Amino acid sequence: MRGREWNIDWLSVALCGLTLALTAFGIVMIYSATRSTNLAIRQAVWLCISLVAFAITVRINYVEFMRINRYVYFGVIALLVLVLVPFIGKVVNGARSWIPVGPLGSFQPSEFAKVGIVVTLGTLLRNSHLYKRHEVLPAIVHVGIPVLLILLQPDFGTAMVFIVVLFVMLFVGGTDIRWLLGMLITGVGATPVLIKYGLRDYQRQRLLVFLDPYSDPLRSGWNVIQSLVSVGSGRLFGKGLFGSTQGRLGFLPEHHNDFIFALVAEEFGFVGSFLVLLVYAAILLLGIKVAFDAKDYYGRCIAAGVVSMYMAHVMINVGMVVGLMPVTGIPLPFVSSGGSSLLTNWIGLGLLINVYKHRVRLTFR
Amino acid sequence: MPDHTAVVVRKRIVFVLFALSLVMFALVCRLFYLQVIRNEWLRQMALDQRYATLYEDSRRGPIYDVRFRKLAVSMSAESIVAIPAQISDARDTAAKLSEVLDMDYQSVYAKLTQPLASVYIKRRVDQETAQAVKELRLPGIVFTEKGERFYPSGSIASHVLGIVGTDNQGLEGLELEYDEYLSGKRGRRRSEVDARGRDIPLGEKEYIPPEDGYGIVLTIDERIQMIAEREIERAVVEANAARGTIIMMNPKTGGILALATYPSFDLTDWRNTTAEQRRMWPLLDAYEPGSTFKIVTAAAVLDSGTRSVYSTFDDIGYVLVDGHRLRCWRAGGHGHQTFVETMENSCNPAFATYAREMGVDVFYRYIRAFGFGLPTGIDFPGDSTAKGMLQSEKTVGAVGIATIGFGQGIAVTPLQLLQAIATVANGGTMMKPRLVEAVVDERLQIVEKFPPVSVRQVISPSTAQILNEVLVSVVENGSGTRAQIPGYLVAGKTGTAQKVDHRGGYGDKRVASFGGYAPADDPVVAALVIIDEPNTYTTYGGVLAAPAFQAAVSDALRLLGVPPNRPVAETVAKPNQVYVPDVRNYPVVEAAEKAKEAGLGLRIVGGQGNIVLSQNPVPGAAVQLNTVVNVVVGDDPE
Repeated sequence: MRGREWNIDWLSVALCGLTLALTAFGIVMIYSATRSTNLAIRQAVWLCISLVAFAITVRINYVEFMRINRYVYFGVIALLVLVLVPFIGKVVNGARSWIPVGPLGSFQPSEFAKVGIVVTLGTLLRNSHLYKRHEVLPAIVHVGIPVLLILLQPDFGTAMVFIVVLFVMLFVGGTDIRWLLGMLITGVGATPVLIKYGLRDYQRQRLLVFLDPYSDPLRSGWNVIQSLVSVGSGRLFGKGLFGSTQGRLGFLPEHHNDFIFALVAEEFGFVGSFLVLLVYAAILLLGIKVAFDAKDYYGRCIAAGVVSMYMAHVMINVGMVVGLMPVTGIPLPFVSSGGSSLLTNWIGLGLLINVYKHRVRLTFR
Repeated sequence: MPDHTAVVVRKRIVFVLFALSLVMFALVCRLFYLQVIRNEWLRQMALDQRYATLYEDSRRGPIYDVRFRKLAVSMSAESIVAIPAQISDARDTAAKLSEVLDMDYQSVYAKLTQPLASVYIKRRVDQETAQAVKELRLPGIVFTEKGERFYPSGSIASHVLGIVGTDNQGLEGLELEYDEYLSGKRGRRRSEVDARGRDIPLGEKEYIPPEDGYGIVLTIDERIQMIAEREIERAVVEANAARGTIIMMNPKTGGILALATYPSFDLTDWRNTTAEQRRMWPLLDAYEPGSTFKIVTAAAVLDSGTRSVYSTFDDIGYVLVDGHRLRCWRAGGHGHQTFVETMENSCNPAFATYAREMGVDVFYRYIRAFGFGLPTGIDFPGDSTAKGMLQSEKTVGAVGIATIGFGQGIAVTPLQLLQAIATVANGGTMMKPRLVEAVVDERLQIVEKFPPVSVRQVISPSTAQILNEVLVSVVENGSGTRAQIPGYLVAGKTGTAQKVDHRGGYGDKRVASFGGYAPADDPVVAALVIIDEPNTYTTYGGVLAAPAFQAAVSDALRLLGVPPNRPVAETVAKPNQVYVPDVRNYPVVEAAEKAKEAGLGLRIVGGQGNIVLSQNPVPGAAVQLNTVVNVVVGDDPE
């Protein structure tokens, strides 16, 4: 019976195929960036772990998640608190965001928090929807607590992803447009205050150099300039695989990680980076189709949450690489090196496939 | 059960799709802009930071005299350069280097650890030291060739040649004026480096060899220059003067044959001299010319037809102009004089009167036509500002124009005055003075030639001919008799100008000068001698400057092979005249003995070494007993 239920359909195959291709491409790029097999192998190992987690996620009917909703949410909060504790949480690049896990590198609770929050926010929205209470405040608090904890690390970029996810899920969830506009206006209004009092010096500096990278070309502006130089030097067709010089020669920082798209752009040019963006667009398109075809409100929310999570990452990360967004260290989904991120994104994919598996079938059996 | 909200939700999902497309479109546009539209600029930035460039100096071109004798050449000496990023053990490297180079350990260490792409450890080391450092095989220590200027004939024509800086750049004089030709193009060695400046072993390398500079050929003749330097030194020392200059020029081409100043300076030791000492004052600084300027007044008055050469002037010892008495230098005056006699006697009231008779407009037209108040156009740095000082026609007044008639109240550069004298010598056609004849490559093939340039016809050839005879008469019968050269006809004019002191009035300082040319019937050399602030019992130009003119020009004429065309009855060999032996290529000690045997002295004026490379006066020259032969020494060329 399970076999019959688990129909292999073109959308799932396409979605998995594209994602797998992207991850494999990511591993090659990581090798190209580091010129060593260490990180590439580690990423491959994480891919295996991710595939197991993916399989598990697909198998459990997503409706079941509502039952463990409470545990998931408090588990997320607990991990986010734990990472803030000195001696447990490790500081990398000024943010206490990692918990070391031996040979597999580090584990980043804020990554897992993303899927956790998508699932639990979905439950929250579904319950309020069920009882016709379109209340926004509980949702804001629900996301606000982990966001505050993440800002304490501090990890501005990931916090931004949560806000995008919250916004898109509320929007897709049918929240009154006036509420959303109100949120948007409050957010924009609060930005100057936030910049003045809420940001650390280095974060403010990053915003400043985003506006004018050449104001401090050798320090804060370095990443932005080098990234632009990488992207631009790729030209139409790029320098070929392993042909990049910017990353290899150490000019471009974090080139296997947050700035990996710059490397893609340098090695494969406009054509290559356009193709990569096309793959993301396809994945997101298929994700939206999943949301569209979802059986119920809950499934729709989860799919929208996962899609918005991917979208926020692609937008913020690529935007940063091409100088359209301030520098915030968040990874490019499936491509950047980093186990937690990869695992989270594959679990997200599992959720999408899961929702699609239980979709409304237009054909009658 | 499709309820209302489900429809809303689906609509909103479509909206999200739309938003997503927008974001993607924005990213793609931005990528297109960066990678396709702006790529050239960004690619260049990427290239630039990927390559480290080491520059290699080109060899500076030589400076030749008119006979292709080398006055200045560049030899390369090696310099030691460190590339701090490639040094593995700075302490060890510093210790070894400081020992071999005899430098302070701390300063070497400091240089090795500077955050620079490359840093000079020591410039211009000799061959053995460079070899010793090479044998240490220190990583990150490399060598570049640096050109260094050598002066094979010693430091002659220092003011003309000028100086060269540490980085092969001309700083002053012709080295600066012709730097573009002399300096060549520096080569560069580019290698791919990483962000820390380390060489990438298999990275791209590019080497563009340096292009050597062209040589320049001067109009100056080294032999005549040596004569001029010797004579001006003698004249200045004998007159106990502050300084002096002899400028010799070919009146037909404008080519400068010699330009000597005393005191001069040592080109190899220029760092210990001041800019004031190195200043080319004969070209750049103006002075009141005094009586030598009467040549210009005479040319103007004759050419304008205001007076004829047959006119006369009665000198009563002074002339009244606007109630001012302009006195003659001779108390009581010269009485009745012909025009020629007024020139021979250098009679001030006569020339004041000539100037007034012409009037401001006519006189100024000639003054300007002779080039006063304008740059001469000589190829030397600063020429464009060296105009001298000419009062405005509107404010000069009657007294002013009268004094200009005898050379006061006007300031000219020595070169301007010589150019005017040469104009008379050249039949009234003024030539632009020049220092450089041509630019040549290393095989002495001409790359660019600078032909003589005639500026304008200032006076008619017939006026020039008449004035020529007047000036010959000055030397034959007048104040310039000490400029006579046996066998040749000499034309010229003496001058003794008062110097304006610091209070603005005329003090007791003088400038003695003599300007003229020879042979007067077919001029080959025009020359001006200036003795500034002589401090002897007499300060007359005819006494102090004319003999230097005579000595320098007579030697120059002989060297240029101009045959005497006048009876030389009176020029039988004087009892104490001897001939200079050839001491070239002899060891210094033997050379000194040979000179002593001939009754001459020997003095080393340049170079280092044991062998005599050149001598002055040249072998065979007839000189006074006890004359000192100046020699330049060097090492055996083999």
